[in-house]
Amino acid sequence: MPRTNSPLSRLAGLLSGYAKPVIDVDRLAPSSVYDLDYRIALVALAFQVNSKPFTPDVRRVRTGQLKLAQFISQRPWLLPVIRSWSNSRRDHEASLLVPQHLRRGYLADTMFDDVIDFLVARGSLVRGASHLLEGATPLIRRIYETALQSSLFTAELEVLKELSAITMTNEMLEGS
Amino acid sequence: MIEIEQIVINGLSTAGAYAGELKLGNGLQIFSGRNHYGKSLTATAIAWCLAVEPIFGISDNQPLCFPEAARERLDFGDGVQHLVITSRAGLFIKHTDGRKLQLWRAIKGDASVIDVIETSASGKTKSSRLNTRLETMQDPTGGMQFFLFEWMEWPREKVSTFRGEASIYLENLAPLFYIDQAEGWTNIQALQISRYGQQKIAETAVEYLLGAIESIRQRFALQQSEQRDQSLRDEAHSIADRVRSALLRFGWDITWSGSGTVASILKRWSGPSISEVLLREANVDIARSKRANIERTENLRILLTKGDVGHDDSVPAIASQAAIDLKTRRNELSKQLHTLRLQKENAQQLTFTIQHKLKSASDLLRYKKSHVGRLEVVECPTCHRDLNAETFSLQQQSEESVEAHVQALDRDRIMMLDNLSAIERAIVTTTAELASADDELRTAESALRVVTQSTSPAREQMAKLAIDLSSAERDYQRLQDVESEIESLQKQVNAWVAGVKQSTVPAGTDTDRKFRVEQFSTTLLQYLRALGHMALKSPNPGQFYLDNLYTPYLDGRRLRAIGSASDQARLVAAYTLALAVTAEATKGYHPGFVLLDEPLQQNPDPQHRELFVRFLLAGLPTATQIQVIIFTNLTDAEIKHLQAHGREVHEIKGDHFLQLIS
Repeated sequence: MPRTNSPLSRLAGLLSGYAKPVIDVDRLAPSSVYDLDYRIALVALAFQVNSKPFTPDVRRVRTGQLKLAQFISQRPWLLPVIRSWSNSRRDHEASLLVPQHLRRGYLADTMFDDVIDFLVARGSLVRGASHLLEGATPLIRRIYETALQSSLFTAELEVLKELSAITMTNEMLEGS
Repeated sequence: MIEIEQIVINGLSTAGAYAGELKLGNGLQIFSGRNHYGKSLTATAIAWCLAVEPIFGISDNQPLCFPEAARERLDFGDGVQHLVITSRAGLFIKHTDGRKLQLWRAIKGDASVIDVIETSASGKTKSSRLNTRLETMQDPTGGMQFFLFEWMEWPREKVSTFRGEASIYLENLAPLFYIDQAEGWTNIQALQISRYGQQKIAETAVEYLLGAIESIRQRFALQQSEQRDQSLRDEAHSIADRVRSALLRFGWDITWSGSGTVASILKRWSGPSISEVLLREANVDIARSKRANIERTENLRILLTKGDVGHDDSVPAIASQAAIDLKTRRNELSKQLHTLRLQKENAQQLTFTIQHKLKSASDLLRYKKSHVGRLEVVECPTCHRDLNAETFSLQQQSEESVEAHVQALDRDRIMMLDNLSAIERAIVTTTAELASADDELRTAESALRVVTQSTSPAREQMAKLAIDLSSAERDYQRLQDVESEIESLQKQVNAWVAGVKQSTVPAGTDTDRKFRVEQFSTTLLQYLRALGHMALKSPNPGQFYLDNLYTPYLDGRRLRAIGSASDQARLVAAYTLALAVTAEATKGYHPGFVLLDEPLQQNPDPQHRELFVRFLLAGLPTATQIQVIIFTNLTDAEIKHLQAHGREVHEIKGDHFLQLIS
């Protein structure tokens, strides 16, 4: 993305008439949350942790589950919210108390959709009706193994494992 | 320097008395015998009698360095295993000044002592029994190493350990002149002991043998100084923590840091005292408060005992207003504390978020730098055209960009930790203020109760005065407690400052090191070439030097990592011999003998053997007094060749070193 169209440049432009800000966009560091490598790595970890065997050679995962898992893995402070949301699934009154901004947050995570489109185009994932399946290229598995061997993204992996122990209902995975 | 004259092993078996002895001359002493004759048994006897068996990695006084056949059963060639009843080893040593020494130590029996027979240059003998390990370097009367270092006229030097100090023991020096067959050839100082926790012992051992004692002493002084500095810093940190937390208890937040170097803490703590900082930063003057309190107490006492209380009927209203004011203040403080606690919770959550993001970004940076498993070329699996991530509104950030993000997050993390720490301090001070307000409120409420129960305005006034006096006296006692606590803390600070001022780093020099090391390096290069080290064969092999640890380097690479496999044995032999010859020239503290056990077994190829024999003939300097003892297995042709050129080769005949005494 060219720097002149970046959100930071636009913010600098908006503020320049009022607040007289001095913003050197070259010195501002974009968050690594928006890096393709990072997001692919998260998808790979979330896929390996949450997927189940579909055929003897191929594993698959619900798209919505993958989306929620990779979203929470970046934000471990949301784990208690997810847990209470899961616990309130039989209690309609309690479910009203679950913060709604969580649902809005992860449903609006369009970057995940872009990453999945990219991985599907690359042949690393195959899109099913409501599932994602392993593709012919072993990228997902390879990234997961690399992360394990090199102790990379251990914090995210820990969250994913903790999350996999929480029951996810279809209602929680709405919008998938 | 010394020379070994004789090695003896004798004892009693079920077949009768047995013995084996080896006599040695000066200079190069080559012992050639068939395998399993007992050459290594003889070499082990030297280490055993010098009590340096810890180099073999065995427990103190355990004769496990000897083969079981020599400790438990012996076969004298009749095919019968005879049980060993007693066994001992003896080492006969001659000093260059004519004194002699016999060291006898049991192999089977009490190995914790050594029997020593000293013979003076005039022929007078003296026997004693010394402890091999117990206080061996410390005990001037019974310590074996204390005695041996005295006898050799070697200085006893200290080295730093991680917790204190220790001596340089003989077993620290032995790996540089005693090359064991099993492990000694694997590296330079392969048998050096690390479990004693002595710091930089390998380089210290080299310096000791070369005689660079000033260098050793300077290193020790610096290490001790560093350890002292660390201990002083720890102490300063602890005192500063105590000062801050003690004052926070009273609600005073001051800057009293124990961080930084000893010099910077000293400068800080030699300046304003705790009381002065308290006055400057928290506007608290204990002395003035005490004076004001004394004056108030005195006035109240006079008024109560001698004064005219009059008929002022506003006392209940004043007491009531005081209680109301204190209640208001208490409520404000309580709200403030609640807000601070919420702030703390939020700050903790934000810090956790930043730390998680920082970990993720650092992992991503490592992931990008390792290039493992990352997308380098992305193409469509069907049409094989390159897939552009930007087509999918995606972006791959550069390593620099992620690195900048990591740095930004780290700055945020530090800022949040500072923020959190400030909130925590504010909570402590507010809690202290709240406790004080509670206390004052209780007193005010009590005063109000008494005043309202009084039957006349005069009594109301009297009651109010009495309560005020009691409160003022309590305040005075509190001030006294605070003052004495600050005094006690200031005493600790002053003691620390005085301790630092007293500890000065002794100035030393290491001028005795440079020329010795240069000479050692030159001799080592000469011996490596003479032994035929492959890396040094070309006319311009590159720059050869010894690094700070006295490890040989060639053109920036460790020599150990260059050359062929057989060069390893050449390097160890050259290093050991060069060190001995240099130590002799520089009047170092080398025992004067070098033992090389089976140098040819390390690589039996014909070229290695030929190079080694050639080295024995032409490589070793003839002028040296160093006794070089080599246990090996030479061919008849090699023996004849060496003997024809005047080298002393002892051909060992017979089946085994140990024989029955008929």
